[in-house]
Amino acid sequence: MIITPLRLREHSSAGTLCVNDTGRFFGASPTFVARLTNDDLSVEDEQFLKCEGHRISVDDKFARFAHLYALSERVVQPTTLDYLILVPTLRCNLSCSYCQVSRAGLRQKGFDWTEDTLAAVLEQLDKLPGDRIKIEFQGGEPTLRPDLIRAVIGQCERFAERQFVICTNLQVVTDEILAIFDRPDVFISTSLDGNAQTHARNRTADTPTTDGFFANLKRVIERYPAGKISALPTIDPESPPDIDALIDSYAALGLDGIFLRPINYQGFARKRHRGSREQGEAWRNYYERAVRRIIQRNWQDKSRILEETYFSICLRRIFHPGAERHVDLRNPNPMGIDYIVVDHDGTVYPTDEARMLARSGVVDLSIGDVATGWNGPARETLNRCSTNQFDPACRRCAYQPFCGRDIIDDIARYGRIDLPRTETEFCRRHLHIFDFVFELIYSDDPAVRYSLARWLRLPATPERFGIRHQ
Amino acid sequence: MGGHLTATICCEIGAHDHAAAINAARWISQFYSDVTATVGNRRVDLASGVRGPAELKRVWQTCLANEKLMIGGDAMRASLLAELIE
Repeated sequence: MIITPLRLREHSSAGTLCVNDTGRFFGASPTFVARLTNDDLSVEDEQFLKCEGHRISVDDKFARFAHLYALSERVVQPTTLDYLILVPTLRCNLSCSYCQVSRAGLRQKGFDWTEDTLAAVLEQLDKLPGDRIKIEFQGGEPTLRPDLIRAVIGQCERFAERQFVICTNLQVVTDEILAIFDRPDVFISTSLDGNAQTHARNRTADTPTTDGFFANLKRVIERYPAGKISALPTIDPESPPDIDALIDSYAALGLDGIFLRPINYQGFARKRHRGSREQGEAWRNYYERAVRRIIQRNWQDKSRILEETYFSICLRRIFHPGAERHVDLRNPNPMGIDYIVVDHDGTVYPTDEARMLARSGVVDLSIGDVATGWNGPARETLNRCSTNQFDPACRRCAYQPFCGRDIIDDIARYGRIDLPRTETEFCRRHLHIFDFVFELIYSDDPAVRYSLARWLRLPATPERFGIRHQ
Repeated sequence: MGGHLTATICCEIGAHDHAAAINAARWISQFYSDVTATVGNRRVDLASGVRGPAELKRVWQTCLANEKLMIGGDAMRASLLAELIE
């Protein structure tokens, strides 16, 4: 018999949380932990561990392969490029105070793809081996160049499964842009910081611009089915909006997903919002209160389900291994393999944050360019550190199977990647959020279980999400 | 840590647990930022500015158990990963 390796964390709701490398978990009593470490397990302990997939007979090949398969879902490396972030222009018609890419002015020259760059992008699309593609158009404001968006989309007709996300500030929506939006495979992602006053504070500044945005947002929401449009706020943790007002702003527009995102320490924000380098207790408290408020509202009004997007991502990382492809929280997190960013000048970056760092003048983490390729030593160097599996802190952490590795975030905040994990904002943030997720997993409150079930897309609400063993 | 302490306790360390206890004491404040630990001769002194004595003791026992489990766990982990790669 072997007992699959367990990592432990003392937890306010779960007791001693025991997690194996596949992410299977249970809450245990201190007496069980003592029996486990003293090699003094009872018959009931052994039976429990076997039933839950933590104890495997050496000659039970089925159980062993099942464990290995579950393990593979946690550690498998993506191999096929099928997700591109394209920046056809860095120009923008707004100047947000926390712009992460230090956008170029509306009339500046030299910040759009050239014809050669477009040709190289289209050539790369032709070379992709798979039958599915996801393309996110970022900026600047990509709708300033609808011709480039159309050219890219037109080149992707051969992909059986395709999705295009246009990240737009919706300041200007012409008939030409609407014609692109009308495609069923095109989705709209925009920014909505809250009500008009909050949105104007760091983004639109004046009333006509703010009104123009809200009019366009309402227009596209009325025009398209639910799910076509998503929005996310950028929140200044030093003056966050009232939680109910923020939720109301989203709910009133029929937007059910809210991605509570503090200012990213990139671009203009590095100078204008210096406090965004670290998120302290105040932000974490705000975040928890917001999620709890969403849970309350879901329970009070079951006609619609609101969710905080990042919480749901973390929850699904626990229960649905392999299903969640959020590139900011995954392990391993290889660079330039399954997704890339092509900037306005054709430079290829491993992530959008890497592009932002270069734009901020902090460090050039480009890995190549779209014409000549990106399979070189720069990518190889980054990929030497793309897993959390061998880090001394992560090796001790019960949340390792659910968590990720983001060396670009470390470089952005600290200029290095060798800080002890637990001293990084990435680690502190995720220790907190996974503690919070498990607090809710082990909650007896039916309102909590109701929301968790919906966020996991379950057809019904289970009696419990987390098991215990005494 | 600074500030007001809500609990200070002392726990004995078993004869075979000294190495694990040194590691646990080193890592405990990394994972539980309110807790500090100092290992002495067959004992560890623990302090927290947030938790009570009983909870502080549970945190220590969990950290110590985590270190003890790592000793055999790492080898098994490597073996399983090697089997997966094959």
